[in-house]
Amino acid sequence: MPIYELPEDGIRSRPIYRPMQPDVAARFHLMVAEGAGSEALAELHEKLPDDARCSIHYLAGGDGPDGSDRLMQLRCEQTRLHFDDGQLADALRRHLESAAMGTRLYVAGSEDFIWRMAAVGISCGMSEEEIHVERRGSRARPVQCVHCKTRVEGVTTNIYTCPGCGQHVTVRDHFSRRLGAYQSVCVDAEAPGELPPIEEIYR
Amino acid sequence: MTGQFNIPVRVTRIEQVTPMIRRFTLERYDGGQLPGFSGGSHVVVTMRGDDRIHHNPYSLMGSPDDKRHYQISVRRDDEGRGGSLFMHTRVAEGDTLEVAPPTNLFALNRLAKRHILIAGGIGITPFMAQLHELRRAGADYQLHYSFRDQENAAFRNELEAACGRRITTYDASAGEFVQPGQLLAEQPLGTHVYVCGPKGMIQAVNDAAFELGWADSHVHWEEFAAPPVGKPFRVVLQKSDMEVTVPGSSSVLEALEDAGLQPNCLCRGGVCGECETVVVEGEVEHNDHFLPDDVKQTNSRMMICVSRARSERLVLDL
Repeated sequence: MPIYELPEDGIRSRPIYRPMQPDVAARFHLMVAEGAGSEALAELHEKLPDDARCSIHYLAGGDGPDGSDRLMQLRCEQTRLHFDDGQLADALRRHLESAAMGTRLYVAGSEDFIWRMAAVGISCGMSEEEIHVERRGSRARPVQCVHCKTRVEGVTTNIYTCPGCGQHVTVRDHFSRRLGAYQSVCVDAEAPGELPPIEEIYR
Repeated sequence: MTGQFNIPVRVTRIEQVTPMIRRFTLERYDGGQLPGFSGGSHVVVTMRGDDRIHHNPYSLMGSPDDKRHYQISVRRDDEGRGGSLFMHTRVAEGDTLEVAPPTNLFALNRLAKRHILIAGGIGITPFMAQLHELRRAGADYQLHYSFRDQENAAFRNELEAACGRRITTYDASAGEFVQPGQLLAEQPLGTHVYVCGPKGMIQAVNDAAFELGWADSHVHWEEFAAPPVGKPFRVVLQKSDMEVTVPGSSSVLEALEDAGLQPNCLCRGGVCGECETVVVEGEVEHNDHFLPDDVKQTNSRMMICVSRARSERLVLDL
């Protein structure tokens, strides 16, 4: 089961997110979300077989509504609430380091969040096939400038000024799964200062 | 494709390892360097017999660091089509053979946290090359090696010397058998399993992994199918406007080669997918490990290196 799809045309690396489906072959389902991602976990939990084993890590706050209460009501071996995403990532790593083969990781939330958590899974030896991701909440993009490699979270406009090199850069659909970021590239190299209209397109 | 880039090699050493298995050490005829390879690679060896040419795939078992030599082991099969018998009875030290450059369809996953290698009989050979890589990388690995009895425990001493406590052996004559369900249970995340051996063993490992919820990408196996002997049939090549008879002891691929054609192929063991061919008409007896079951059922494609016809005639899009 693919964790996400890639488009048939256009920029091929842009992920397409669909509602997560449980991998029923798995022995254990580890579910992680932030903000509005709680709704995706609740929907996923509903599709799990009755005897499925699962645990939840949730980062309350951040983007979107607080789904803590809803997640606390789900039948689960363990539901843990975190208030800091670094702390959540550490908890996830400890969980995965003691996990057995047969575990699947599901992550829902902003694009920045899901790929950072997926990277924790990859570094623990999981393959992409074992990690399912779904974007929920804001469509703001994590972006890396191709010139100076400065990373910016939550970009909502087609063009922004890179805080690293000060260039006007445009956000491309080119996406790096390893970095969990879209790539941005100088937009006015030919005629410095001449910019196309700046629009807020990733909300 | 195959046949065009063969490398002439000289047999420098032959060792009788067990009553059934011989190890051959090969070097380039001109003494130069051989193409590099990674553990799990195989070469197709071309043997020019009196009445036919054999092309058999064999795993490379020497160190990938040794650029001067390839080592293969051949298990004698008296019921087979003659390739292994040729290697056992006709090839002497100093003779020349031809090998195609190595191909790897059974590589180690370098991101794995742990490797579990499961070998049965002659299936130990690809692991012998991989062990060099695992030891050099300081990787966490276990080798589980089954054999029929002590007399057929090929390479046991050198494996024990190399692996120490990481090897577990299973002597079937003493009632010892690998238990894949136990072996794969509670393995840490990031474990990969590799199996090479008899059909039943490969199946048992795949079944256990599935049962325990392992993702397919963590389960690796290799089994070369020998083209089975069957009834003769006719093959019609639609694009070339030719008709060829496939004798009982030849594969479709070999019959086409005998007719002067050079169809795409690589492993000749139904594994790599290179010779996949569209079937226009006729029923196929599938013997490969490449095509998915639903494709096999439609009779729309076949691997001409190992699969045959169930009907008297096959029309191929060649």
